[in-house]
Amino acid sequence: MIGHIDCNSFFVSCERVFRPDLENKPVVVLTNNDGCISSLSPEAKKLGLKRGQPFFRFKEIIEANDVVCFSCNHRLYGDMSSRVMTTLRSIADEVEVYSIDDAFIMLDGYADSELQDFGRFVVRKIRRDVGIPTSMGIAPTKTLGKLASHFAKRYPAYNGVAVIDTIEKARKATNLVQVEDVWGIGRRTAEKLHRIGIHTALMLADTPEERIKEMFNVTLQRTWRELNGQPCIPYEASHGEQKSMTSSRSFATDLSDFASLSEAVSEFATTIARKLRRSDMYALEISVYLATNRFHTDEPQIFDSAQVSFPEGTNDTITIAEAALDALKRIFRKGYRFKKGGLTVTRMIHREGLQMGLFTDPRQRDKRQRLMHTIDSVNASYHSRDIIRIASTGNGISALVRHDLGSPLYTTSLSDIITVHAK
Amino acid sequence: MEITDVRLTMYNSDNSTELSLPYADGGVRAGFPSPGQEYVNESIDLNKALIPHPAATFFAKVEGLSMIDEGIDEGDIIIVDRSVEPEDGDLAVCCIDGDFTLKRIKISKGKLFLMPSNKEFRPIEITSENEFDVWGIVIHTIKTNRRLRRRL
Repeated sequence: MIGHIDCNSFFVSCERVFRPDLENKPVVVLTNNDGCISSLSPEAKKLGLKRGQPFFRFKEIIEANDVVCFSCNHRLYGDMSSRVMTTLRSIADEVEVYSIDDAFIMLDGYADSELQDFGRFVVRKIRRDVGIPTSMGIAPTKTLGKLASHFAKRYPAYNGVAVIDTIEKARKATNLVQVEDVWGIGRRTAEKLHRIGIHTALMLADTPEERIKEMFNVTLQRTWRELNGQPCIPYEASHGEQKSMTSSRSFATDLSDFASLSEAVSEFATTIARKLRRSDMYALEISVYLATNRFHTDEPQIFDSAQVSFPEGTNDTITIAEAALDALKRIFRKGYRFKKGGLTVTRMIHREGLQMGLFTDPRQRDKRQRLMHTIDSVNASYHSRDIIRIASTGNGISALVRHDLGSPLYTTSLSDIITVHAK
Repeated sequence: MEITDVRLTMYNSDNSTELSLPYADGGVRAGFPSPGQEYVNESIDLNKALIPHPAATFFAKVEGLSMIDEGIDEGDIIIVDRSVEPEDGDLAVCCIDGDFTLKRIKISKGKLFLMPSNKEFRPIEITSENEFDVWGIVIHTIKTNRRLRRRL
């Protein structure tokens, strides 16, 4: 059997660990530029607020109900996430971290009768040790496990743990779920399913396999099997062997001049280079893209990207930023207002597989590596991430991205730890 | 009157005694190894010594005077372990009605009290009226005895 652990309203829960006064109150965490709601407490959900919706749309509800709003504090959430995952690893041998707030664990060797109790133990342990409430689903496949944890979260009667261990339970659960809410089914596939009269997960599971094979791709065939209780999506020890890395952002205001865009792109390059260095990876090819706001239908629309390859792997901020600016020059066009941009490392290699180019001066290279190391350690020791920046980032994208309501770095900065009153 | 001295135990590095190697040594080496080599990487790691459960451990700063009789002063940093089961007598970070407070837990005749260590403060009895939770148990207190002076 497989367990799926999902943190409840994760970002909000992280804030609440250090703000017990916010328990049972409506709380939301906003996206990077404070534009949209990215996480909300059940109390905020009840007021009609919705995830992914622009913040301003609910301004009146928020003010009338004293909803507490936070800008996202990614360092705090990242630290709390690694605490949750570390705790899981102390309980289970095989833990697959799926995202910042959910994970699968393998439950081989437990009798079916023990699963419910074990699940409760896991949920209690994470709540006790880290302070984060979670929901757990236990089922024979990952897809059913995801479905079960969703039920555990939605219905308090489960006490945080839902087990699907019989065909009857699987049928009952899948009957209550729409196809678009099934793990791995995208919007387009869901639309196609609805068109041919398959609306619930149970209807999908009951469709003959031949028909699925005929009409859909391998991904949906796997989902079909998983819904029928046959495990098809294997356990993956780590998603660490990433094939790509991205730094991207929606700008707070649309950008149309080259100077602001080059600042943004340099900032992406800085982030990407730091990510690469942290995981000992080297970029072989990067891609830079820009997109206009597709909701502004009266304005000219464009989406364009450009690639740059490196003769040898690099994780040097300056080299990557130069290449990224080069790519930007190729795709920038006057007269367009860009809403979004990003930089993706499309090919990369680990240090061990690195080959040094024929014409590289090793001393020059070592010098640059030491410089990058120094920049990283200086930047890491301050609250704000980039004390030292390369010149082209100007004041950095933070000038373009609003962070009005950020919470302290409770767990990663000694100057931000909680204060306890001895009064 | 009896006067007790404060005793300090100092841990010096002592190279005069011999330590048997704690790990089996199976490899074949070329050349004669330096006898000190095996100990090169041994040093005191306060993280390991003071933080048995890193994923459940948080730091907090003390404000207020209610615990000064047991030497916990304003500005001290406490190491809080959430994974420890609270017991009678533990020093704990408690959440009471949405506020963090630092007190000793006392269970007496089925009642729960939060005990200060300062005569000018009174014990607090926790009743069903209160929203109460033990947030974590304090396992160590860090004090800075020599304040860092700013260089002119």
